[in-house]
Amino acid sequence: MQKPAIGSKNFIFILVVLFILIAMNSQGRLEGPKNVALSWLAPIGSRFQSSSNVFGDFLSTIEKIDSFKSENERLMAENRDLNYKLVKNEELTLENEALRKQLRFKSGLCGESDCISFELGRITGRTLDSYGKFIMTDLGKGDGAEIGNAVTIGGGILIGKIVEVNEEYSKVMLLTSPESSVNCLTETTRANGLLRGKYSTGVKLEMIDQSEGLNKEDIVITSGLETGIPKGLILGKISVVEESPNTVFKSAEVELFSDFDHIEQVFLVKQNEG
Amino acid sequence: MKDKINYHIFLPAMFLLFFLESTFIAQFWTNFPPNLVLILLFASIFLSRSSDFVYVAFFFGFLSDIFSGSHFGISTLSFVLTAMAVFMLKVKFMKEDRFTKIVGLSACAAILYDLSYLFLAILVYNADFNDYAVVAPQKILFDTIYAAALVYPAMHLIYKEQE
Repeated sequence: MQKPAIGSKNFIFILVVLFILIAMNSQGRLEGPKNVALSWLAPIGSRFQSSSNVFGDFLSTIEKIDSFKSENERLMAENRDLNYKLVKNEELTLENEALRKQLRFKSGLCGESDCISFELGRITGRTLDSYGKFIMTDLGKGDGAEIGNAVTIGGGILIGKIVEVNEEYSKVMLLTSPESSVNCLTETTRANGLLRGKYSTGVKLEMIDQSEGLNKEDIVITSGLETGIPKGLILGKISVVEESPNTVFKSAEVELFSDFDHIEQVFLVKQNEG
Repeated sequence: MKDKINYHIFLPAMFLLFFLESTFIAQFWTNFPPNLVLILLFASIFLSRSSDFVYVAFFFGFLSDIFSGSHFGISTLSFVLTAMAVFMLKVKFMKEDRFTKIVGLSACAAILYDLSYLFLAILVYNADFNDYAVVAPQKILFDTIYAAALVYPAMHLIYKEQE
């Protein structure tokens, strides 16, 4: 049997090219070629993703066909309840606007110095490895996407932030990614902490001062202390409180409201000068 | 001596699996999905007589990095290093194509890939080992099983009789 060639020249050549590319990428000189590659790859990925979503919807319909009747009744009841809350909310909005006018605050989705707007985008691909939890979206620089911008699903539920942006596409680091950390608050006790990704174990609220209160089922929202992530975006609710007198900080397990595996559309949160 | 790979099937299959991996499989197989691109690459290494597959490893690793990788360069580097290591092991230990050796070497290749990925993520990008430690053992176990089970069928898919 003829012995195959090991081909160390090929190997060394590839390694040299690769290290040059990594160095170029770290200096941001690979943006052009990456844009070209993405403009070719992403539309194909987008087609695959659309088919995948259609297939997912089909499976989900078959799965839920038995529960449609009871689901419908439940939704109708919920709708009645929401209608009542909507009317009540409109009353409160009117009252709030009147009070804001008196205090000379700005209206709508505007804070003291900026306004928030949303840009709808689609998912074009998901991460290939099991560690990093990233998704690709078709929201690019043209849509106003910038590194650090928050990305949500409907209802102002935060799913992650943009870590890489090209002309037409961006990469979103999900909250469950081990590298993800978001500054946040608990809704009722106003305890400030960091929500960190823990891969498959979900997310954890950390760095809570011992003097702060933590309640189970309390909603966790963004604190607005980070650039690109406005205050009040919903993250999840506290499922387990972990406290011990021997530790410097308290922590809590947080159950996220978003189901990352079934997201099809996302919203880019843009903060503009008010 | 030429490679025993049918490139008319192998390359389109690599592209198809690459896109399926980042869409369908990522969406429906959420816990430890098989890395089918890597498995097909291993299969091509077992059928290859030259080290040209290293370019294929580089190309698809690079696509993974651009399209959906967590840290640029890690997938490419892991693909290339593992591919080369598997080829060297094959040359050293596989004098003939035996099923048990292919399965054993595939399992080793999967372990090698996961360890090199982990090592590079921690070394090059200063990733926190504790974040990965929770998942790594299970991922290695699943990838080893997938590789051992799927490399042989993948070899049949891309096998070409030599003229």
